[in-house]
Amino acid sequence: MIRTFAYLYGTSVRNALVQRLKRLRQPKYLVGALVGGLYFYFFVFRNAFRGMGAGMAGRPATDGAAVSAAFGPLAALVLFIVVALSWILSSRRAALQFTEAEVAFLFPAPVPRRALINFKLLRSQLAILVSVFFLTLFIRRGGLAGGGTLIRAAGWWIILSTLNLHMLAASFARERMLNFGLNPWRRRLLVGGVLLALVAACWLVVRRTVALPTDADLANPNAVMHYLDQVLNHRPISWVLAPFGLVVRPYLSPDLPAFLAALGPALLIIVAHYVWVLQSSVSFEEASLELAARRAERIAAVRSGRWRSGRNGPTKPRPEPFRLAPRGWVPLAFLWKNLIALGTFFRLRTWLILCVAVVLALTWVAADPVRIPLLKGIGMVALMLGGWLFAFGPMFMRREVQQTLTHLDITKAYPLAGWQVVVGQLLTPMVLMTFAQWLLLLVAALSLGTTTRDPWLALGLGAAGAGGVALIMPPLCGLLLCIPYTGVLYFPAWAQSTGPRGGGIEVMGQRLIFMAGYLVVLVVAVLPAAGLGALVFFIGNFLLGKVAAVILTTLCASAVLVGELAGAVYWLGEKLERFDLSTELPR
Amino acid sequence: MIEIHGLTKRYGDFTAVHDLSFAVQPGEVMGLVGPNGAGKTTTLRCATGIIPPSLGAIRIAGFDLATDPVEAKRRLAFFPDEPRLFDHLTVEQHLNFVARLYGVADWRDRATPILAELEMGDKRQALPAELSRGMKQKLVIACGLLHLPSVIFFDEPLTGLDPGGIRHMKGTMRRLAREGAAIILSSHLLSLLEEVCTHVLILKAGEKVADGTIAGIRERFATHPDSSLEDVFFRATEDAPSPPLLP
Repeated sequence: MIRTFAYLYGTSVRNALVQRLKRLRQPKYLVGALVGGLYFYFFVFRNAFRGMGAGMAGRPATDGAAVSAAFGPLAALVLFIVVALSWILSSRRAALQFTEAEVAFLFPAPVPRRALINFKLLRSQLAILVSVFFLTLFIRRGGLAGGGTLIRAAGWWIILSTLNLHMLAASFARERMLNFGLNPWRRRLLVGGVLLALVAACWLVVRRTVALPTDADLANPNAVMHYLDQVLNHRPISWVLAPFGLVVRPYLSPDLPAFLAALGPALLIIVAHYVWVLQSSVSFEEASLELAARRAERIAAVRSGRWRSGRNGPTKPRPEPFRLAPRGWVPLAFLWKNLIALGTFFRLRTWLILCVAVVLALTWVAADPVRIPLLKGIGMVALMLGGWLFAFGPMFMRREVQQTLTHLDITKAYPLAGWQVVVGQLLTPMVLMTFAQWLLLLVAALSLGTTTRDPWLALGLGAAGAGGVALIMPPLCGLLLCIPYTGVLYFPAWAQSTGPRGGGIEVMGQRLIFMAGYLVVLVVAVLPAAGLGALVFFIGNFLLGKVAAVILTTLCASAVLVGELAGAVYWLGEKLERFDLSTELPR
Repeated sequence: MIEIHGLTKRYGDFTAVHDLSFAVQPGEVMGLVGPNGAGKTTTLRCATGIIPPSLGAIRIAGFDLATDPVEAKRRLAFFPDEPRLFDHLTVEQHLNFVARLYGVADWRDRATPILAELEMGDKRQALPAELSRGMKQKLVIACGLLHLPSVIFFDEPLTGLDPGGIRHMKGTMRRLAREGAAIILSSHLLSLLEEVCTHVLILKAGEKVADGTIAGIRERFATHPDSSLEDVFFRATEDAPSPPLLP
């Protein structure tokens, strides 16, 4: 039976790899793969693999054994907490994660239950091995406590495999408890009570010899570590943590002999868990079926661009943001529809409440001169967030823009000009982005305006500046959102492959190229407004003074941006009307 | 009415539809039929303005789809085989949205009889998730009929409907034709075409094999007076029917 499963899995993996390699024949994937590969090499592998040649022998650490001894109990405690929480919090039933196809083919087939479990366990090994690879790559414990790359990798494998088996066995045990009439809340109370009693008993014993932490014990991380070490190595806590310590010990081994000595007990724990799983005579089929259906539904939702999946979608109507008259400016209908979908949080009321809260909070902070540095900090953070939103906000709204293609067969049947569709589709992200920027601007203006004594930011000038920036926001946000929209219309194949369907290093490379292109176009689009603004400010400042110059500058800059936005929308509308969906739709 | 002249649609080197011409007059229901890959969906998509034709001209109610797409689309309704609705809009909000798109000022007055006829009067506040497949299809129909289209395209309209829904859908199509709409109905269900259509156009490999009234087509291709439309279809497309999978 294992050979059958190996065939299924091996063939599937091989075919998936072949497909991935085949699609590299398309330039969009090949270029993406090259860029993604270079990114990984320069930012991940080049540094991560430095010193990885140590292998089993590892780089001898000066006090590797001591560090391992110090971290061992702490790591065991972390593992203990993870396991304890899985017993208390998890409500998952005894379910093995199968795909819907596996359920359809394997469950009715004459396959023994044990074989299904083995199949599931073997399959989970691939995910574990991938995790081991990345954990070994990113968490470079070798520099701290010695130990070679292979020791760390094997250590991670032992920890993750044990946890995987334990979680599965625990889910079987929970199912049995449920079968005995112990509902989840009773089980939580029971397990929680037992754990609480255990902790209390340990504490009562330990506090006889170990005092409560003093300020000196908490003075620095080393002191805290020392105190924790004292507590965790004290019996009976050390006894409770002993099995968990056995699991983490191979990972913390400073050298090969220590690793080999730790390996035996850790493997025994894995074998014990395996036997526990196999011996659990619990029916997992029903819950597995449900889990497979939920998983398929989630995947389908993500593929269709919805990140929240429901079996059939929402079942409770949401209130309308405003009344939609049957006649009038058509793009408003798109905003109305999208705001309903976003929910009641995205309403003008919420924004006004946030503004009032911001004003009240900042007034309170500004009332005490001691808090002025905090105020400056808040202002700077708001400015940084605003800048970040400008630079990357439209990229994060890319998914909504990508849905343009998904729904284009519907929107193209509407009796609307291309520019109307473009405005309709851009309106919601534009409104959201603008209101978010206005809020951040309010925070920045109130925070920095209160704290500076610079005449440049004095009240009149500050108000003119903030008002001017607020005026620039809507056209600028609209213009920025046009960039990913243009990407979708001019490079639909790329837009689709970088959508939720995509994956792999080549798709990551495509995203990087898109991001770079976006930033270049952003600079080019903003340049005319910035150039004219600078000129107007220079002349206005010379002739009329600073406040008038600021007002004139923002008016001119926003006029340029409005013009650019109108041009871009019209141009995109023309493109949309001519856009040939033939290559995007299934025939 | 629908007028199509010399419609050709190419996907790269592949020609999906070649030099197709036909017209559907008000009150006529034309069945579009052909084997898989014959070009039915491409024809429908071109005729509704969803994809541009490579060559040819399409006029909807007198408006050229290429030069005056907005006016042409204002007069047509397209019902796809799969109802695609907005998850967060109720039945009534769907109608409100469509009313704004088509500028239907009195949509509330129009919606009431349409919803009543579709037996959805009590579902005004329901979301798509609360509707059955047939109800969703009915909502799509209600949205499509709200602006009183004079040209209507149906793509496999009976998919997923229960017997009651099928009966109702056939009745709706007949009624719309009686009221003067020009209808194109694409379907593999030959019995449906026989029941509802006044005309049939048979496509094969992107080319028109035959078109005309059902009686005319039968007269042309039938081997004997009792030939079914299925026999006629296979003779017209020159494909021997596959033997049944099971005896």
